[in-house]
Amino acid sequence: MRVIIIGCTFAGMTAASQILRSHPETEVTIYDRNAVVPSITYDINDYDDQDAEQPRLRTELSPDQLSLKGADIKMGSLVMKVDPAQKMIKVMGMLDDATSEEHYDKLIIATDSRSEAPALKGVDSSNVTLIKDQQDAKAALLLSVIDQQIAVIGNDPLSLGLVDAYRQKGKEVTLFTNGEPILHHNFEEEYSRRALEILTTANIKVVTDEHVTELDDNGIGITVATDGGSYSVSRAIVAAGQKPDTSIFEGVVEMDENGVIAVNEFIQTSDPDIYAIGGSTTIHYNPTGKDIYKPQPTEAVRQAVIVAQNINGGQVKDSGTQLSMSLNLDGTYMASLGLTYEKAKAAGFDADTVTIEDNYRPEFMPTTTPVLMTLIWDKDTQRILGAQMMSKHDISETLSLISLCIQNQNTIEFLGMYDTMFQPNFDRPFNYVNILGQAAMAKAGIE
Amino acid sequence: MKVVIVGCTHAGTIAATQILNAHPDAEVVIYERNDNVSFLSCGIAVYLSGEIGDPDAMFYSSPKQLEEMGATVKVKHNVLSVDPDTKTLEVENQETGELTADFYDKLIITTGSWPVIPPVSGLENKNLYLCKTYYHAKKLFNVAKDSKKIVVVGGGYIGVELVEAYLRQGREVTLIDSSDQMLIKYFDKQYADRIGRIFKDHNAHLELQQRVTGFEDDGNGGVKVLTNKGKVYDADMAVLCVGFRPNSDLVRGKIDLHPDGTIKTNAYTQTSNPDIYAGGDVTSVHFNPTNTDRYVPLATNAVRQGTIAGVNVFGNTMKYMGTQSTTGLHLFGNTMVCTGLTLRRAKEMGIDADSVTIEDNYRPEFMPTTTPVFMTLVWEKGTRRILGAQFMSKHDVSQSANLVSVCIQNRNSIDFLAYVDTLFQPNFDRPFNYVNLLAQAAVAKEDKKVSK
Repeated sequence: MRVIIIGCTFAGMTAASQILRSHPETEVTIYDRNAVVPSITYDINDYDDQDAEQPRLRTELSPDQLSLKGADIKMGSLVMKVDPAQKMIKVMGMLDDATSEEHYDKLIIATDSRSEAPALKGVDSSNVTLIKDQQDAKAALLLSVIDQQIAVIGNDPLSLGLVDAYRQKGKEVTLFTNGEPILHHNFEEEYSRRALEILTTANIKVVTDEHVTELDDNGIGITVATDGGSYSVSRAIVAAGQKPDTSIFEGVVEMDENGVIAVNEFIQTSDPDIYAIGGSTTIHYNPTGKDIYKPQPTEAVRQAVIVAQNINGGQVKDSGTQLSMSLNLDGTYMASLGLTYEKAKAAGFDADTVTIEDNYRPEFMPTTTPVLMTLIWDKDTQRILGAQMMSKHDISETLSLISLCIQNQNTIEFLGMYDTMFQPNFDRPFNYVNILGQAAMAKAGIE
Repeated sequence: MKVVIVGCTHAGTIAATQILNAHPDAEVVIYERNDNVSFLSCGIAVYLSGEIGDPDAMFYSSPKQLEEMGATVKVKHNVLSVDPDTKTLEVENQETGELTADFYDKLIITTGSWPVIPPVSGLENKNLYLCKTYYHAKKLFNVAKDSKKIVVVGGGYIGVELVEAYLRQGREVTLIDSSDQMLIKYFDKQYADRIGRIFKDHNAHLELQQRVTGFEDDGNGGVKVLTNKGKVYDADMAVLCVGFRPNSDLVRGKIDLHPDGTIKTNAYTQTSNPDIYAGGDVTSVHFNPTNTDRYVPLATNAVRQGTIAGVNVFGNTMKYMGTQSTTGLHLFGNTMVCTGLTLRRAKEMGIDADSVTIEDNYRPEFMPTTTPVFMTLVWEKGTRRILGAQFMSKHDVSQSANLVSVCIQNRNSIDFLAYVDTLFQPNFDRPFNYVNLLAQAAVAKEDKKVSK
């Protein structure tokens, strides 16, 4: 069988690696119009932990390793046309302009998204860097070696992760959130307030009550103009939107007016022999049950693994996502998944929310640490819609646990009462997730 | 409405708290033989290891606190008999010997359990101790100060925790267990062997596959522990922890019991008599992996049953979801946690099961530090339903057992866990959480397409 993958991306390389692992006899060819592969490996997000020494990468995702396993990687090759009836693609070599036609049995579209710059005067200046994903954020960090004053304009977890990375590098950082409380789209107000406190204590200037109006490149740096003042920095980092890069597939597979390729639960496009993953397609968002365009590296991996099985006759369904995010602000973990209260309301749920703080283990132990936690649920069904936590204690696996509850459409009573372990080194007779569920039960009038 | 609660450790304390929070005007009377309530016996080992200075901190409630909430708390009172027909009780004041009668509208039996005393000789030996109550804890702490050599009988949770605690205090410890491994109910042999090697590095003696047959005075103020292999172990003190049995004599013949003496309850924690509820170590619990009732005397089950009994005495509205008997240990910096069935237990129960064990780092190697996690997943062949999991690591993997518990409760398959969305952040884990990777290994094995 011959599998052609378009895009030597995180998603594309993961798919190739998975196919060759389970079916080494498969003929896998990856086409990418870039001359060289950017360093796409599982380390793409390591910018926010500068303690990392000598990044030792998981090698199975590098193009060299894929070649050793038998993949044929054609860089500098532009796919010009797809003929689904003949199962052929037309490819042009970017160096010699030579074209060729290649046959596929299965085609995987794995192109990355493109940045969509916000409508802001001066955003295209050379001292302004757009970031749409972790790779961009990492590149921005490398680019800013000599820059001392950095403005970060954005309010998503990626921007905040970069702010913390710059802090670790000793830069003077100013964060502009354009009128929103910090991380407003992922967290309730109390979390924003505490995040602000952490950043301010770490000498990061935070501007939440002004809107950026213009970026003026003065040759040696950028003047950030807002409706309340102006700020001089060496470089401005601007959070960008994402849009799909799929124009050559128009008329080949179904897509929406923005070029987002539609896929079914097997991640198949309207043509059963063509699959779309990563930045070219949607993800299934479980809290609302809707397909949305919001490419994520974790989703790209999951989609790639599923497609690798399905092209070989598997029937693996995409279980969707809770869109979890997490970051570490100066030693404090913040993690969120599913809907915030505001977003749940906006999505049409009759939602409710509760926020509590409790120590993760008994006070009689030599140490313990408070965990701030929030649960959002649907009052009609008692189903959990979202959760947030913030603590110096590692709460990552706890959020994964609640992700599984949302995936299973579990209720607040489930979370309040289901069986967890108890040992005083780790928790109380009721684990703190149970206590969070019980706080929701109390508010919902379940005794 | 008058609710009488007999026995006030976890289930009783939580039931009383639940009732008084939701119905401040309810009349709640508590009878307890001890002079304290809510002692966290799970913390005894932490106390004995020297990590906690004061065992008094291991209460989360007190008779005074419950009284302030409105309960009548009669400590040092023993309920002698129950008459379900007249809904009356006969109660003895243990200090004065005075007998009184009381009545109830609803009765909650939370009389707990007591350590199993094996039928062996020499039980009257003064160097023999049990491990269950606040006073046991204090006694074990004080006696151990003057004991160099300690024998622990029974390699279950408590036995193993005691071994660790006494080793940390520099004692010479011998563990005797009849199985070929420690912790046989909860962990595979590989896990027991790993912790066993650590124990031996601390000079513990693990004497397995032998049964204690008796105790003898050694004539020098110590005790000799004899086993069926003809061996004799000298010690300054010995602790018996070979299991627990339910304290159900009070209601024997009055309500339905299981053959093992535990009280039968329905999903509402109600006994065969609709006015009598029960919870905690005196009952069996619904064990989800097998869908049968099973004796799992754990504080975690007790607090849940106590909550539910406290709700349902006012009308059956809340169901008990059953348990995976998720538990954990912390031994020499190692987290050991498990949920559901081991492969051995699953097969003993007639389930066609399989398991996979892998070891992987919990987060990518490029991070400043990472730690391996040793882990096992057990599932039912064919249906691919998850039945159990075990984890062991120097990293705190306790929430991973609780995560797999969510899966077992939901009857999720290995395929579900293999690809389900988990939190990604390089500070924490790989693009796939190690629990996803474990399930992917299970899927590969079940598909008979083992990779690599």
